Amino acid sequence: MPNALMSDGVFTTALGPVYCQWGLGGFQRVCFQDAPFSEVENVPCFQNHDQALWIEKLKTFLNGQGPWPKLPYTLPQATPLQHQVWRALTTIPAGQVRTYGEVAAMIGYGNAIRAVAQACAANPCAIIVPCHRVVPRAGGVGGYRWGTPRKQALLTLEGACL
Amino acid sequence: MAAKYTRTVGPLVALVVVMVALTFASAPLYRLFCQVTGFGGTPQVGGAAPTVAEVPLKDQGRAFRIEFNADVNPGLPWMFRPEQHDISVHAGRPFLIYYEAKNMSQTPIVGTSTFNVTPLKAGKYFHKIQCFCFKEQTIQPGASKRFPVSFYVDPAIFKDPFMDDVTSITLSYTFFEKKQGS
Repeated sequence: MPNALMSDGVFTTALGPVYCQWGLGGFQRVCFQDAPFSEVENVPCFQNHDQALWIEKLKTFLNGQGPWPKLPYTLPQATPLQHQVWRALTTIPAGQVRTYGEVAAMIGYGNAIRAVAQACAANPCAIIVPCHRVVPRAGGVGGYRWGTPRKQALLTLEGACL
Repeated sequence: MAAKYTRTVGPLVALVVVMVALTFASAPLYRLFCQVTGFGGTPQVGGAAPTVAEVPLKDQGRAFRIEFNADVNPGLPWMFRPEQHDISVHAGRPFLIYYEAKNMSQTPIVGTSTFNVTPLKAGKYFHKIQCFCFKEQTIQPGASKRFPVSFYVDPAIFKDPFMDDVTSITLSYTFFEKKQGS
């Protein structure tokens, strides 16, 4: 269920500004923000200490100063297959990658490669639901909603060998 | 006699040629018009526009009514209201709107705000570029402050079949007094 009482903010990271929405249950939206963003002294409106910690861990990771953080999130209304794919993504350990076909096999639909790719593209919580760990079988890091260089950078931060 | 015909027919032929040429030019001209004005939901590229996804044919020209709401937690002596009741927006284009708050008390007060978007499912497509809610706000006694919100509706909303029924979105803020030590 989406949260009703939300906070949000844009945070500057080494990979560019990141826009996040969060509530008591976790993140609802995490994405890179390519729209112009003027840096301000942000003292974000956290509803509790946990939320401040989540943002801190996310920033630490994106700035290359800490490991990938496993953080709570809430998923939106979506198709059962999208939910299955997103849950499967969170079981891929940091620093490892899977092909779209392997993720399709993980959820028991070995042929649904295109559907898996579409579900990855529709992921509302980038980084936290690690769609960046899914790569094409043909090699390379593959496409990413916010640019291939960012996907490559995220995998490098996690220490993935490609 | 022949000269008289030439004077009449000549301009008429020229007119036909021009009209036919305009027929062919209408498609690119209309596209240019849409790109310049954003008419018909054509996302405006460049300038302050965010990343733009292609708008599917069925959603060309689809606008969203964004309504604004303001609440104050009981116990916070602020008046808080949106400066506009609602606006109509096209996905992918940034908009700037304002809220206004006034501290009715005799002391400076620090407020923090939370928001919600209804329908809840539309929340993740509601992106803010800049917002007063990104940080704490202090208002001096008796003073007023204008609070900007710069936002856009993510064009990815068109790719989500669960959003097909969404025509209006309400953005609602609630201000709380920031507690000491929190």
